[in-house]
Amino acid sequence: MEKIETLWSRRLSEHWQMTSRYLKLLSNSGFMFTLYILVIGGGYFYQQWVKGLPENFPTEWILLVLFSFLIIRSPIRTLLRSADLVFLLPLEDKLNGYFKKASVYSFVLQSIPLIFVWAIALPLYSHTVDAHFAVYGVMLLILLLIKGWNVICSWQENYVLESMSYKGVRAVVSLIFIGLLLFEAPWYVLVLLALIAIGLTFFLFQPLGRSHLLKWEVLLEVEEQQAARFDRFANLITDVPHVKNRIKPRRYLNGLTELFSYGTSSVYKRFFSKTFFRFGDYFGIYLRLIIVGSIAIWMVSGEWSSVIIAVIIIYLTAVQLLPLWNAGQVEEEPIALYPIPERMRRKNFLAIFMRLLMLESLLLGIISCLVGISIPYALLILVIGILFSLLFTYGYVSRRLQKNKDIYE
Amino acid sequence: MVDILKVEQLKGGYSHNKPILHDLSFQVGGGELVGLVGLNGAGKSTTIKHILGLMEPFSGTVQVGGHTIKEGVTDYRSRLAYIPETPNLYEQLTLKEHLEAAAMAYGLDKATYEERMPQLLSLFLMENRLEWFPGHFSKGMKQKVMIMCAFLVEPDLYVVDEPFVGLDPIGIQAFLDLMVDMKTKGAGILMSTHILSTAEQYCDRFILLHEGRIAMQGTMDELRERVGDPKVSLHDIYVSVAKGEEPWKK
Repeated sequence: MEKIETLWSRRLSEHWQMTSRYLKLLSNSGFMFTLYILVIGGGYFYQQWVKGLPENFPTEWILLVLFSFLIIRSPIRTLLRSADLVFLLPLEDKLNGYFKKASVYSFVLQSIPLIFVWAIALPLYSHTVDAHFAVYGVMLLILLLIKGWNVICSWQENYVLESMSYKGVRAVVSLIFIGLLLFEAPWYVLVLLALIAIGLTFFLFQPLGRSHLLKWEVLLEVEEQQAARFDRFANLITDVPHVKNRIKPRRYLNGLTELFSYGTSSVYKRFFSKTFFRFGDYFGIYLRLIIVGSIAIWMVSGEWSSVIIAVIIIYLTAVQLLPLWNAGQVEEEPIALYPIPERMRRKNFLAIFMRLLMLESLLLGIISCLVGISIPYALLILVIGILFSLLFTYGYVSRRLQKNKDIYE
Repeated sequence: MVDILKVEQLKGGYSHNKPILHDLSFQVGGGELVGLVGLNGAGKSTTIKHILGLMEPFSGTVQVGGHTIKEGVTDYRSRLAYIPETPNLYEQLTLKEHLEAAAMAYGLDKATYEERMPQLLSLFLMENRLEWFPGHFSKGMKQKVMIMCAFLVEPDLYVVDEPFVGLDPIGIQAFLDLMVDMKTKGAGILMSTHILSTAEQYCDRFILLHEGRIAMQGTMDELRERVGDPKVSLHDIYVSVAKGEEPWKK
């Protein structure tokens, strides 16, 4: 067997080989084109929007939310595999170097989005808070330090199963730190907080590693979650064979799926609606697209442009929801499980699919009203959205699904 | 006796050039538990796939309740319940939702569903797991969910593929009791298994598959008579068939 010291670099190069293959596919697909358009168009509107902002715009609060999210969420990318639980377990003592490299890697990787957000927010910050670049530049350095501290502590949290309280402490300290930084608290307050953080590191977080054993299953779970995140993203463009989806129970939404009455014709209505809410990231994407759409409508604030944005958002949602048809299937022979004609399954899918798009049209209509689009145009968003949902569902999706047929149908 | 499952001269497989099943003919009557026995690769799973209608026969017919699947897919499939060897559960549905989906799919009325469900749950000691997702289940628990779904709908025919592996003793006993119960209610059961001692004890008849053909079939007494040894166990007959010894020729 090879030396344990080279294990990390080999894992990393294997990981990047896989990842770059998918990135290449991504860059060749229409997705990237859409992204360019969004970046260029978005950049233009963003500039315009920033110029019109008043001095008292809550930039600090917005940045506090964004930075805190990017900094506090610090899962360690270990590149572990499930077989490691058997083969590497006996070597736990010798893996310190490996995990150190993993922590550094995670820090670098997670700093990239942080720097991105920082850079994007630069015009906003200098227009509404402080025009001195030096202030904002130093802020990045301190943010990166806080990020580093979070990664170090996050690693130590892997030694205990019930790590919520430690995560809580880390989150609160980071939040206060970032907040004080953004609101330009005096330097000695920041120093005091830094001392507290250092104290916590030595007296709370470091002892975890000394008095507990590494929780391998937690590590593996964190690793798999992160791998799945990328896979799911890539899966939107191309078919990733090993996508392992996680489910989120979201029990508070159960009432909605139970609206479909008990009976044969509801089996797949309930099935698809539950799959939508709980499986993979469909519900998350749906919500995010609505939020993005609302922000875009609000920022552009045009009448016809808001209608166009709404339709684009509904179209993007529809495309993202298409794979719901095959989502959450069991490995083999799904049709054998229930004596329900494939026809009925298709019908139920289309019903759910269309309702989701129509609901989105309604929400976008209401939101445009709230952000100041006049009522006739908000109604137009609703009507065109519903028409589009109908046409897309029964004109395009239903035909596409016709191709899946039971051998006896 | 009414034949619930009737397989006649079934020839089938994945490729016409290389059929896996040759000329299979057998029946499962109402109130009968038939054991389907054979080595790995003897053709048990392929046989089951043909019965479920997941594969089309090259020639011959499979009838459930006197009808082939071509006469009506939904009707055919709602007459049978299948318990697969590897439990297939939807990750995103809870135990309760699996039971409910099965009940709804098989057209069970709500009152019957609500009456049967708690009984099955208590039989398999799963009452406290109703709201759990399969991700938190062991293999045996998943198996129990499949078994409960099948017995919940009480179809005419049960097709069971190796049910015992992974089940705990309570689970095995509950499963065996349920099978006896359903038999007395007139259902037919076809069960593929490698646990021969249990099969010998519970099955009314046996089908011994070897290399895609039926080597022997009949009740335990009939098998013993053909082999010419009144005390021989199913295990010994099976081993002898599996070695290709053709024991009935001795």
